[in-house]
Amino acid sequence: MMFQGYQKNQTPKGGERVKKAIITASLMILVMASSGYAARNSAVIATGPHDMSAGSALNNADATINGQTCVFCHTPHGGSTTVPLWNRNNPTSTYQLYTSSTLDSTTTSATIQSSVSGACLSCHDGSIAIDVLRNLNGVAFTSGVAFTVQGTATATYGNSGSGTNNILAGGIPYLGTDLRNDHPISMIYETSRAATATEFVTQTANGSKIYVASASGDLPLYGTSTATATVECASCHNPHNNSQGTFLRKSNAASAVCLTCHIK
Amino acid sequence: MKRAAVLLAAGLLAILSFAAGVSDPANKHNLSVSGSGPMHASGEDEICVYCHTPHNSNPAAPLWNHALTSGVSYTTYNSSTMRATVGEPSGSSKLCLSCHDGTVALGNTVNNGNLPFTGVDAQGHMQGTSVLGTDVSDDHPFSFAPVTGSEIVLPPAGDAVKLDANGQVQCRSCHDPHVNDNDSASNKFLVKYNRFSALCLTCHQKQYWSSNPSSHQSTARLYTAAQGAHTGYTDVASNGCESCHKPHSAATGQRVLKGQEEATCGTGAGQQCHGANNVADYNIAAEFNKTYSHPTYRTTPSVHDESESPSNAIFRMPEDSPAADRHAECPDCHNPHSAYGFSATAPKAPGALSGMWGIDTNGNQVQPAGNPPSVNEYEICYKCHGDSANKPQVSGGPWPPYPTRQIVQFNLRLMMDPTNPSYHPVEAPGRNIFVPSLIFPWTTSSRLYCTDCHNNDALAGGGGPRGPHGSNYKHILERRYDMDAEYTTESATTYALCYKCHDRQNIQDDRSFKKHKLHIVDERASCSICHDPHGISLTQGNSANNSHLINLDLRFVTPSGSGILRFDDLGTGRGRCYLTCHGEDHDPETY
Repeated sequence: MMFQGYQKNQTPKGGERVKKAIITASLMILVMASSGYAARNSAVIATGPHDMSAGSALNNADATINGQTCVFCHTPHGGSTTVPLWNRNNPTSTYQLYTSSTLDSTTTSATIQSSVSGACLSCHDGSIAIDVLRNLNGVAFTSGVAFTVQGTATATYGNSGSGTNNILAGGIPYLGTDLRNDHPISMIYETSRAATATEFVTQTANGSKIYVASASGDLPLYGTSTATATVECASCHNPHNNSQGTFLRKSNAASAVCLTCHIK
Repeated sequence: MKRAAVLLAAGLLAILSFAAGVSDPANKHNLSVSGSGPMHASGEDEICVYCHTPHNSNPAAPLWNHALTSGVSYTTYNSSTMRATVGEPSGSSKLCLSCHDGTVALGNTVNNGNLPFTGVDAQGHMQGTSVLGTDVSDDHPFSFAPVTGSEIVLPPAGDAVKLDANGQVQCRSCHDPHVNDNDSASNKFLVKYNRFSALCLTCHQKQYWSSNPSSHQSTARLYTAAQGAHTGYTDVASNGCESCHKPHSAATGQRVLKGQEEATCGTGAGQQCHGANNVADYNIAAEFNKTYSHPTYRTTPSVHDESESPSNAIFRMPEDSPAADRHAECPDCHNPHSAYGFSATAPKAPGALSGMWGIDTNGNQVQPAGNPPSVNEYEICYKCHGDSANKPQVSGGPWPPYPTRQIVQFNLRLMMDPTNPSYHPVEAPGRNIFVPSLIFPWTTSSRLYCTDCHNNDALAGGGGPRGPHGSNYKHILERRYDMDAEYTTESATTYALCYKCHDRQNIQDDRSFKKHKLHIVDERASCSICHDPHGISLTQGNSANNSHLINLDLRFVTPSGSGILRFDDLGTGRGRCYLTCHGEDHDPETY
């Protein structure tokens, strides 16, 4: 499920290609070794903050859930069509949107609701309880799970329905519906880039996958063409991998995540 | 080879057009541990984090992450000539001030705690010249909506210079916090190249600056860092506005002058263009050290205000109160945005005095016009030497003695009026059409400048700057003119000023007044004992008694034996005097 960085088309010649391949491979090994890429569990969802089964900042011992990890987001059947195999309904919240005198690409609440970011906000705007699911063991499930909040949690939680600690209520992970103080999402990247071409890295298409290329790791845009692809939560965040902290897709050392798109 | 050349050229272009973004270690706003500026984080390697955060920002836009200043009262810019109203710091300026007012630790963030810094003061605050402090009255104003006018325009659409969403000037209007070298000479994070002050001129369109153009706009004279330039540019034209103005931490807050008022022109530290370092042709500042001078550098700071006018209630010019402070600062006579080398014919003021308003013969304010755009020279002098209630001559100071005239008048506007019975031909050709002593090319149709008599004493020797800045002769006269003794031995030097235009031999040949030689050579009476050089006002004198500039000096002249003190004009070359002088009683003497 993890987003893979796309390789740029490279056409070096002869021996140089071999040399380059060796260097690239060595670098990859170095990167993997230094970040504990393969060894640490935080690199995958299990036991990370998004794993609510056990050992996480927020976890449950609910018999019906039965230790499942994926179920809070995904289902193989009966999921939402808005986002593939999504086990939750997208929110219907009205959002207050980021505004700035220099923002060229804007969006709407409706766009956010139906975007992939809407899937994230179905928990993170605090409007739908974490345990409201489209399909649990063949039936729709409504709030009734008791979660345990660990000291490592950075958010605070409220109670919804018959569940406890089952809905985001505070802390930075809780974005709420006021998105004015959050980086804008669900806006078309090309609109901003075209308006201030010197301020943004040009996006790249590889088939129907659109991304912004970077030596430190590409970041994805969502959509099928460079003209319409949008920035979403998942452009910066990988919900399955918290190895960099705050679920960033890559290390933000030297603000590498920010500078993947922004030329400042 | 050709390909290599093309590549090389492309490479050079790339270097030339390269702008150092905020991630460049050389960019002082790269506050991460990788930054090479004097102040940066001790450990944090993120770059954006000191200012921005993707979530939970405050204020929301532009995703701000630096703790804002609180509990501080700012002293804002104030100027008598600014039409807009400056508010408390607002908009993006508050964001900049959250570091640059020096009251919040550089590493103090909204979401990332207080990040440790090096190079900061004990409280973690910014230190050094980048600190504006909370007194921002010596900085170019910000957080105001410009009021447009003939000299203030809004930046054109699409320009790098921008007003904020509320139409206000903010720090961000001139500065791009991410890119330090759009103007690579200054590296001051300007939004665009500022050679020739292109950035300043986006909004400021000083009258005459580009149209004359002002010498300050056009001269390529060297003005380097060693000479005091602060922009990185090395000549006057390239320094542009900033040859004289400094947009931050200015020595004179009002109008952000680089030096303390007139010290900006010639005597301030690093501001000696018209002083010791001779960026300009002459050391004008030294002129004011002569025995007699306009009091330009004697009082600094002084009371000149750029808004002075006859209609200004606060800064009235001419002054209407005898108690008002006197001043004669550089910009009383010169408009630095206009002054340039352009000659003119009397009485029209030349380029050096262009762009300056004056007071006309009727006492009304008059604005410059024509080519060069100037008023008449005497109209500039009348600003102070006409109707001002605080003229020093009124009380006899500060450079006595003055002749004690039979008719007392110090208002030169009245003394020079062409309706007068007599006057030196400044405003109009003289009344007397028989002046045989005039030296070619002077004729009775000629007009004089005030500066034909009042000027630098070095000019007679052929050197030095023009203008009545200072002279070693009394009354800032260009040449010697002895007038304060009862007996003066006539010579080419004692009356050198008069003899500049009036031929000495011709005078002594008695071509006009038949007794000139008797009086000035034999009796050793100064010209000044009988003649009042400027003129006799029609409000006090008349053509029967005050033609030929006759206005007796009562220090040496007393009434005749029968108690009469009077000159009667009896026609060309003829007259009658009632007076006693040098022991001689004319009661009357007729010629």
